[in-house]
Amino acid sequence: MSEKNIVQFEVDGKEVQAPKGENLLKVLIDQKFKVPYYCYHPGLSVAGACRMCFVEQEGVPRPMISCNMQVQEGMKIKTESENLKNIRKWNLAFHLINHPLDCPICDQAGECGLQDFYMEHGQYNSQMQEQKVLKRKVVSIGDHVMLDSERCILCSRCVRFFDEVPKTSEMAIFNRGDRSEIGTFLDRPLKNNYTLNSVNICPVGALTSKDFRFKKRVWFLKKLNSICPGCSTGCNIEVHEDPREKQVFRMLPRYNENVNGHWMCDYGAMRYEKINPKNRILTPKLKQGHELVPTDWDNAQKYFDDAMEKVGKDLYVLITPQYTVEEFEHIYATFTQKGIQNIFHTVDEKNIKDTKVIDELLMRNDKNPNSKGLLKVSAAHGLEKQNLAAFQKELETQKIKTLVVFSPADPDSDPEFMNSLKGIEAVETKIQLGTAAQYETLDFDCILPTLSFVEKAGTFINFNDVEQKIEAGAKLVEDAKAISEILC
Amino acid sequence: MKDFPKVLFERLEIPNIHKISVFQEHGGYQMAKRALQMAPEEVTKIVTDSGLRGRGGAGFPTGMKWSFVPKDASKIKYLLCNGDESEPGTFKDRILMEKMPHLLLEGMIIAAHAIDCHRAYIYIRGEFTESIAALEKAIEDCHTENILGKNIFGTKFNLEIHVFKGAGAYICGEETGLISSLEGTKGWPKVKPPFPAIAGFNRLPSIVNNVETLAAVPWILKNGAQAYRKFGTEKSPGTKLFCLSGPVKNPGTYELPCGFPLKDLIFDIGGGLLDDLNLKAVIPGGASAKILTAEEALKTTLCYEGCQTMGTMLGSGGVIVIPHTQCMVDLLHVVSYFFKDESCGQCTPCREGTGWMHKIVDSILHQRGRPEDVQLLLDISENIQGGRTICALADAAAWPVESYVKKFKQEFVDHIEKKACNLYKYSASL
Repeated sequence: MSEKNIVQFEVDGKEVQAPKGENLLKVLIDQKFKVPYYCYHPGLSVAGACRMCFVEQEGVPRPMISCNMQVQEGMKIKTESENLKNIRKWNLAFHLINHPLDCPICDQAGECGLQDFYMEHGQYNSQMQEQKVLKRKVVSIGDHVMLDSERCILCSRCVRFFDEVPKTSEMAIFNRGDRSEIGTFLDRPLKNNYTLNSVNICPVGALTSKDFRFKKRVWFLKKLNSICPGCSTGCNIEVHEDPREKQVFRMLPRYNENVNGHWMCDYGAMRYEKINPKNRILTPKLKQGHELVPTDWDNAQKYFDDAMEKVGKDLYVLITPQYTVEEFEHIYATFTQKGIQNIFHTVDEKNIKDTKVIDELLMRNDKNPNSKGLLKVSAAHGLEKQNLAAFQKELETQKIKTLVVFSPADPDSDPEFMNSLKGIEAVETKIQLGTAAQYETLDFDCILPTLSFVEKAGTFINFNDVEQKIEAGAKLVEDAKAISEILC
Repeated sequence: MKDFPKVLFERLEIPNIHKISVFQEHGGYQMAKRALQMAPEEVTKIVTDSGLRGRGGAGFPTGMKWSFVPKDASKIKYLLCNGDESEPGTFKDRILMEKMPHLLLEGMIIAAHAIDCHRAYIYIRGEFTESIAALEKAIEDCHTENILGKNIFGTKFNLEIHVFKGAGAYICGEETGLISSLEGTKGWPKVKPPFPAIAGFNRLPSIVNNVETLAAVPWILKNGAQAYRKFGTEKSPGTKLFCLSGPVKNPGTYELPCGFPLKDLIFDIGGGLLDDLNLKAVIPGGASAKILTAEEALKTTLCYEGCQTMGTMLGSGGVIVIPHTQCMVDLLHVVSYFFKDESCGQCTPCREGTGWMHKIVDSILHQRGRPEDVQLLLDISENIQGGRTICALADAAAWPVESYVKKFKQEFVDHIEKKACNLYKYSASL
C-alpha cells in the first residue's frame, strides 16, 4: 500500500493510522478499542442492524454506527462517553429482553457476544417483566446445524453469509417486528458444504453445531493454530482440543486472506473425528498366526529393526501425501542413506494439476494436505517419478519382499487406498506406519502407530505452493510415536 | 366556508377530470410540454425557488433533493413516486391518484426531466385498487397520446412510468424501505449513507417523492415560484392537503395554505366535534406525530415550523381529533400495537423496543401495570429515538408513547393505581 493511501486520525485522543476508506469499526476492532458489535463481520457486507457500535465524531451532532463509517484523514472519534455508555446499555437491553436466560445449557456460553458485552457494557438489572416472545427451538436446518430461534438476535450474519459467500441464499429472516425469525426457505435443510460457518459466525447460541452440541464447555478447550488436512487448499484452522480428555472437539476456520479468508468447508471441519482415539491405531500390533495382536513398543521396534536389517537395500517404501514436509525429509533421508532407492509416493499428478474448486468455495479435488510437499521432497532425492503406478508395476512382478507403507491419516482422502495395493498379499513382510484404525487390516504383519497432525509440528505445502505451519498439541494416543523416533 | 387558494385541487371538481381528454381540455400536460422545452436546471431552480417541501412527512425541500442527483449523463437515474400512504390518519394521496391521476403523471414527467430520468415507478400500496386502476389507465392513455413513451411531444425525451403494487406495509412508505420492496426484496430500509439520490434503486441515483409533492409541480411551473410562495408561510410555502378525521362533523381532505390555524380546521371547516363531545387532544400529522392537548391544539398553526414550535410535526397532514371520551391508555394501546406490528424487525432497538412498549401498555390497560411502568415507557421511548435506528420508524413509534404518557400521565397512573379508568368503558377496545 502506498504512503498516500494511509490516513491519520484520532480515536480517544490516540493517533491511529489506517488505509483511507477502511471500515472504521474494523480498524477499531483491530486496534483493540472496546466497541461492541454483533451484526458486523469483516467477511460480510455491512448490515447496520444491531446498533451496538455507535461512536461519536467531533463536529457531528449525533453518534453514528462505526460499521457504516469510513476512515478519513483527521477525523476525531470517541468510543467512550456517558451518552455512548447509555446507548450501549440500552441497545444491549433490547437484545436481551426476548433472549432466554439459558446460558447454563447453551453451547455458546463462554464465547457468546451477549455475555461478553454484558460484562463490558451492560451490568444492569433487567426491567423486562413482560412475557418474552416465544419462537421455535431445536429446529434442525441441515446436517450440521441446529437452530434455536429464541436465542437469535437477528444480526443476519448467517443470512448474509449464505447470500454472499457460498451464494446459495438458503436462509432469510421471515416475518417482521419482534416476531422476526431466521430460517430456511420452506424449512428445507441447508445443502451446501459451508453450513458450519454460519454456526461459527453466529454471535450467540442461535445456530449451534449438531456435532459439537452438549459435548464440551468451551472454556476447557485449548486452541492450536493449524492447517486443515482435508484437502490441498490448506485452509488455516484452529484446532480445539481438551488435553485432559485427549480429545479434539472441533476445528474452526482461522483468517488467512490469501488462502481461505474467514471460512472453511464442512467436510474439512469434520476431519477432526479421524484423529480422535476412537478412530486411531492405539498400540503397536504384530501378526501372530491369523491375528493382529497388540504388543509393546520394544517388541514392535525390534521386529521393525530386524526386518530393515534383513532386507537391506531391497526394501520398498510407499508414502502417502498426508505427512509433513519434515517427516518426508526424514523418511527419504534415512532410507536413501542406507542405499534404499525403492521409495514410492502416491501423489496423483493428474489430480494436483486440477486446482479448480469442486464445491461452492474452497474444496479441491486433491484431498491430501501435502501433495506438493511430498513431490518436492521426492524430487530433491530424484525419486519424483516413482509414483503409485510404478509401484503397482513392481508389485505385479512379485519381487517385493519387504514393504513399509506410510498409510493415509484420513481414509476419506483416498477410499481406494487398500484396493490400489492389489497383490500386496504376496509380499513377505508388510509393515504399516500410520494413524487410521481403518487400516488395521490383516494385509499387514506389523502396524506401528504414529502421530496425527495435531500432535506434531511441521509444514504442509498447499496446491498453490504456500508453505504453512501446523502446531503440536497434546498427545491424544499414548502409544503413538513420531516417525523420527521409529526410523533412525 | 371561505374560499382558499387551490393548487392541487384546482381542477378536482371538474367532472371526469380523471379522463385524459378532459384533463387536456383544462390545460393538462401543457406544463409538461413547456418543461421539456426548458433546461433541466431551470426546472429544478423554479421548484427550489418555490420552497416546495416534501409532503410525505419529512418536509425536505424538493428542489434541493433533485439537485443532489449526480449530473453524470451516463448513469441511469430513477424517479420513484411514493404512493404508499401508510401513515394512519392520512388519505390525501389516494384522492389525487384516484381523481387526478394525470396531474400526478404530469408532475412526474416534469420531475423526470429535471433529474434526467427515463424510467419512473409509482409505488402504490396494494389495497389502493382504485388508485392502481386509475393510474394504469392513465398511463395507457398517455402512451396513445404520445405523452409517455418515446419522443414525448415530439421531443427527444423518453419516459416510461410503471405502477408497482406494494403489499401494504407501513415501512414501505419509508423511502429506502420502498426501494428495497421495489427491488423485489423484503421492505427493509437501507443503512444511510449512501442516500438514495446517490445510490438508491438498484444502487443507482434515485429520487423518491410523495404523490402530493409531485402533483404540486405543474401548478408551480405554470404560475411561477413567487405565486406559490404567496400561499403559506415563509418556511412552509404553498398549500397542503389535510386529512381531518375523528368525531368531527365534516371529516375529509381539505387543501389549505400552510400556516392555517388548526383550530379553524377543526371548528370551522370541520364543523366542530359531534354533539356532546369536547375536544381532548389532536394528533396533527398522522399517528406518529406527538399528540397535542386541546389547549395546545388551539394555538397551533398547520405549518412545519408551527407544529415544531408546539413540539410536534406537520408530518403527512393527517389530523386526528380525539374527543374527551377517549381513554388515552386505550388509544396508546392501539397506536403502539400498530408500530409494533409494522416494525420491520431489521434493527434491534425498534424491533424489540416497539414490542416491549406495547406489552407494557397492554399490561397497564389490563390491570397488570406496575408503578415503575410509566417511567419505563418514557425511558424506552427515549432510547429508541434520535438516530438510534436505521430509519425513522422507531422515532415514529416513540413519539406517541412519549407524548401520551407525558401529557396524560394521570390517566396512566390511574390505570395502574386504581386498576380502572372511567373512560375506558367508552373506548372501543382493540
